[in-house]
Amino acid sequence: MRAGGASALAAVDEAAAALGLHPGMTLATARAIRPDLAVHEADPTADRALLSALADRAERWTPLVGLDGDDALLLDITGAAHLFGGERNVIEDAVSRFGRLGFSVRAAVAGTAAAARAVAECGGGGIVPPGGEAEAVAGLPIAALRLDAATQGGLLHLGLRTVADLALRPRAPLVARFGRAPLERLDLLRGLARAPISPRRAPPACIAERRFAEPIGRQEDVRRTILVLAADLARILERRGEGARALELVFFRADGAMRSVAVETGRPLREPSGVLRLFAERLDALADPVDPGFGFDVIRLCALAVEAFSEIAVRLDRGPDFEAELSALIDRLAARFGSRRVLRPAARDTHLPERAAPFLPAQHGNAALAADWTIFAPEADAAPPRPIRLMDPPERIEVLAEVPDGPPIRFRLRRVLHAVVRAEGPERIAPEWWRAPEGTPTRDYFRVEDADGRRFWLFRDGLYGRETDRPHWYLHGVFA
Amino acid sequence: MERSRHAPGSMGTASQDHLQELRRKIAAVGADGRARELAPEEKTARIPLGHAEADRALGGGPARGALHAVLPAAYGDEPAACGFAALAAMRLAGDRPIVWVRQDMAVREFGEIHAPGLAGLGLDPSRLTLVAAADARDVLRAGEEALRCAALGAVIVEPWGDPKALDLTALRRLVLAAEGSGVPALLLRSGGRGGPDAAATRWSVAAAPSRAEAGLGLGPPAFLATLERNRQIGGTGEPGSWMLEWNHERRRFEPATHSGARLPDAGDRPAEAEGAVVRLRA
Repeated sequence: MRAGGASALAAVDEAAAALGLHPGMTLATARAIRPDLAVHEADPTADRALLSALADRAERWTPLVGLDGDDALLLDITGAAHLFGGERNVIEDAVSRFGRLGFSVRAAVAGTAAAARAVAECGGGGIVPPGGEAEAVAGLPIAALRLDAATQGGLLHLGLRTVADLALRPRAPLVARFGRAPLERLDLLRGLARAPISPRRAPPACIAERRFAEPIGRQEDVRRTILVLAADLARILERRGEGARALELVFFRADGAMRSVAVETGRPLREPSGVLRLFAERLDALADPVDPGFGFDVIRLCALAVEAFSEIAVRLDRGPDFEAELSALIDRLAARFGSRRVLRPAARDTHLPERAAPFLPAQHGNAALAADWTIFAPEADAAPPRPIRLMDPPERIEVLAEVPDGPPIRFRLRRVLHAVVRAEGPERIAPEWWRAPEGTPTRDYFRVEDADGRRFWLFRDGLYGRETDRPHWYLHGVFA
Repeated sequence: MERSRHAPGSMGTASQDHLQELRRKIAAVGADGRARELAPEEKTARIPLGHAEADRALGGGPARGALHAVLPAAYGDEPAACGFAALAAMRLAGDRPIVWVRQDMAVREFGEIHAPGLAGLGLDPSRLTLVAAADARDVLRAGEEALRCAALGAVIVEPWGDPKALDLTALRRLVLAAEGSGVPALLLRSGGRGGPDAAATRWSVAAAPSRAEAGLGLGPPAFLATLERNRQIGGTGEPGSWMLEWNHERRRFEPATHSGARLPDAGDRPAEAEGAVVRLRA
């Protein structure tokens, strides 16, 4: 770390701390104490990435993991600790797992995140019994409040060295001098106020998980576990009258590594075999397969998004429900190829052909069902008004027209010359002034047929004489 | 519950028709409310294209649970082949959904499928699901997966060019999937010239000029469709070549009438009266 022109220590390990080195000390001073000090350039970005990777691994204890500052993880283990045989085991497991990775960690459990952090950071860690926060933090130094340097200095100047010193002071004068921050922090630490942790990811709607004393790794064991988890999840969802629209499967390896895969559905889903089928597709399609290593010891299935579930009513007047099976097929295809590759057409209220009918992910609502497509029907004994394939972007062509604003007589497309036998047009399509930049030309579209019966949708970009003197021509689509 | 007071015989024809329609729909619903799987004879049923002579050559029309290959006759006939495949799929699909799997490369070469254009041919885009596949392998894989879904009416499988992945094994897999579910597979060979063949029918399709009497305007879509391979009748059916025109109102193919004299009803026209097919191009 570089501060005020001189290099300073950003962090020290235990051995260095034992020598009296501390963060903020200049490098020169540190070198004077220990000339052979091993120094590495601080890299906050890498630190952040590392902390984030550790947070992934911490998800084995709870899906609610938040980052706190540059050096702490906050885990909300409410209701989760019993799965590990109590809070004590969670702490021991965390310390030993991170220890094996080469990190020395201090861990604490308390009723509020702030108290847990203070006890871990300044009090050596441990478990604070319910309601015991005020007592547990009383003896901690003022630094445990994590106030800015000026406020902390001011409090120390008043002779307030510990949290208890501050707690015993009348509040009004403190607020007058230092603002609300110190007392708000104090209340959080003493368990009198709560600030929820902000998890890195949105908390799932519901979860099901299995822990294995003997890690599993065989494909059939994993599949069976997914099916069991899906059945657990289905029971929860059924009770709530819901189905899942997005699901995530999280694998925790015995060596601590974590990997997650997600799938989406087009309709609320809870049928276990359907869930298994989606994940089977997804797992099979991964370019970088999930590697069990020496086995998974935790597998968790989360419903990330849920929606009210309605039993599919059989409408005899409408015949069988093709949509239900189509929807399941769409989910499987999307699980394998990605939801952006399984599409349905939507109709937009615009004259611009390239914007009129975009394909949108089929799982995100069915825009096509509501659209009125009949406006594109041809007149009797005529060609359809719109092409069957649309070029994006339109392809530049060379055109010979009889008169500059008339239909084309000949045009060259990809080096082939086409003689126009029939032409219809122009159909004038003006740019949408509220969307297009000033000066975007008006297009005149022509439907033309060449001597072989091939049909093209061409347009002249710009009105001759008014917008341009040498208009360009483009191929925008082809007709059947 | 009150019983119906109407004796069966007193029903009007309109309600009789309605009842028939309801019976048909109920018959299509399985015990679980989903689309019932087709009976074996339905899976192999022939669905007429509408063009009497072509249907006769096929023994009634293309078979439902089978693979039908559609190739452009020459470079530049891709749009015609595409239109023919889409319309054939629509004939075969009835009122069921259609899945179209196409390779990204086909879009770069001659454009994305345009829903308003399909609507203009009479194919309701709300029945269409598009799978955008990155390469030929994905096209085949997605096509096969879709073909196994018995609720579908047809699957259009559109790889680009003559990819290596489109070998005999891949084609046989499509055939098996189509035969198993009874869902017709249309293999649209955009940019393709040939290669292995396992299809029940293989069509080579070229664009055909609009009808003469349409004046200077463009008439309904017309195709010169050549049935190059026909395995539908006892393995060795007759090939043939026909001028087809799409009738938007009746949603079917009809003989194209390029003589200039429009016939009163193309469907009633005796097949023998159709003249020899002439390629209208150099």
